[in-house]
Amino acid sequence: MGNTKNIRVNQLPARTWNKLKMNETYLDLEMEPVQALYREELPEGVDKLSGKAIGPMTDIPVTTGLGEAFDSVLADTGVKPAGYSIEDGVQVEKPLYISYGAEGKSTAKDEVSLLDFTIGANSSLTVIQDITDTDANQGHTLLLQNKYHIAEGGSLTIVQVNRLGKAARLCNDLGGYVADHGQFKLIQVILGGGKNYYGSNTKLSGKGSSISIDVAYSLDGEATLDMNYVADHRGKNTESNIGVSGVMKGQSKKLFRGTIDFHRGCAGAKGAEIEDVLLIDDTIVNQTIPLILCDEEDVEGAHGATIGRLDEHLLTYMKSRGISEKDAYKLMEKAKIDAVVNKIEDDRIKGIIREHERETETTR
Amino acid sequence: MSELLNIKGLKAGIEEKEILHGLDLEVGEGEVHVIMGPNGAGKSTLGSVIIGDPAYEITGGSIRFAGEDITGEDTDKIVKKGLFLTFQNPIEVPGITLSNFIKTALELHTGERIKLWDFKKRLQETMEVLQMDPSYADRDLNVGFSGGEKKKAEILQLLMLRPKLAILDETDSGLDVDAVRIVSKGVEEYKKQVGGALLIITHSTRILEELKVDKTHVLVNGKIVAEGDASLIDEINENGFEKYLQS
Repeated sequence: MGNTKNIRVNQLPARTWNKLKMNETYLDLEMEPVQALYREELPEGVDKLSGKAIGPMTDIPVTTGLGEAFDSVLADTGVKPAGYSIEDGVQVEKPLYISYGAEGKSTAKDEVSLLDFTIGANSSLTVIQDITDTDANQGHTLLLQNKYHIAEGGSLTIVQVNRLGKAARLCNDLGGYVADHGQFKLIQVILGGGKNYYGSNTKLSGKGSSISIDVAYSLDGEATLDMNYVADHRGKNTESNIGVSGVMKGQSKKLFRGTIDFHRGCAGAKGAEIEDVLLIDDTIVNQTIPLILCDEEDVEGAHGATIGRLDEHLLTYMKSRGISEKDAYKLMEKAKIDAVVNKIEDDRIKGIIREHERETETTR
Repeated sequence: MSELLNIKGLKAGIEEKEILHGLDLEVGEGEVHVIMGPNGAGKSTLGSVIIGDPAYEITGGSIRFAGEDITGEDTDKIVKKGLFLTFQNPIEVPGITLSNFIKTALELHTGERIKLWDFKKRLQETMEVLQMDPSYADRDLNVGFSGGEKKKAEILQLLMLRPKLAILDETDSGLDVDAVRIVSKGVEEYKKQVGGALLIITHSTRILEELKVDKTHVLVNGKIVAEGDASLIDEINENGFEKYLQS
């Protein structure tokens, strides 16, 4: 690679377990990426301003999950963000569809897409990002960043579906803040990509604001997934729920970092994170750091994990209905993904996911 | 009736503790057999061992089903030959709907894809027999189901999979009178539609009221200690197991 830079991404908000080298990840990025092409379906009620981010609405700086170094690299690329905004009191009924790789013009160069969402007071929007590539064997990197600014009582749902080929690398970065009683929902379905870096950092600045994150992944072969999710509780009575569920096969590797950060002043806040991993092969590498940071007394934080092979009683029950161990694992793999897919309210993207699952099934 | 299940000298246990001590049992095609016995006699163990539950180890004897030796075979291969066991406490399976679970099981039994429309129609009709709310078809298997709904879901699977022999393990336990009536209706429907054999493990008799019982077996301490016709059920109801415990 020519002009590349080695940067630190997905750093934990507080370093721990230094010896295990899980605090952060380093990756090489090309310094001259081009604007990623995407097809967009803009519903009524959404205003678009190309080349300019609309937010922030306050002076609260937005931090993203992949982190400062990644943010800085993107700023240096010269690629301009696309800003989408909704005025106060507008409920956008149709989702804003953004499809990467759908234009058939993708280059072998690394690509960048910067999106910026501003949700007015008591407004709501769903954004669906279908991330695929024109050539599954194309070894390029997609650098994707979403920033969001959600005003009082506003609601933003971002659904991301990763159907990239195994040769692709995806850096998927999110960050934003939520004002009083605002909601941010993130649903990520990770079915593709050879090397995946996912980060999300949401500041729950306003009182009663909330975030829910649901992630489902299926890792096979030598695929990797490096995650860093941060729920940053600052307002009173804020709430976060992070659920990550996945299936690991082959020589795949996964590192999940989930942080619930209770700052002083967020009295009455609640945060929970839960991880559920089905391990198919002994050759996988599965790492997890659930972290709860607490600088406020009146809060509730919880984390839990279910990691392993299928429960013997479950397996016996399935076998008693004629379902072999191999078929039981296939069924449960699908169930783990479907449990998250079923939370998506848009039938179109659900259909795309089902079709992708069928295609993957037949090529196995 | 020709022979369907033939168990000879069956010894089996769990974690080196023998529970069944040389048990013999024969069930013919279409027959209704009842296994009665006090708690801890080995009734549920028998059902689990017949279908090859790997939690149990067979240390002696043999199990033949439909002319084939199935001793020690994998559970999924055994049940595909036409065996079915209802569970006392069916497992909850998040992420897999009742409908999808049954369809998958049916397709694996038959080895053929089933048309969704045909399947849904048959499932709906069968659920009506069991007075099940149709919405249960799209709910995750047994997740949040009441005890009665779980038992109905087991009988629903029995009716959909149509085995040659159904082993009902305490299917009526923990159910109120109405639920027992509905489950019993489901079992009668199985007899009517499929004509299969039944091995009913129970220590109550409510589920048997509408069935013609061919043979009753009394299981005590891992052995069949007495056998008789349907009149044996009435005798046990009246006098309990005391005299068999002393034998």
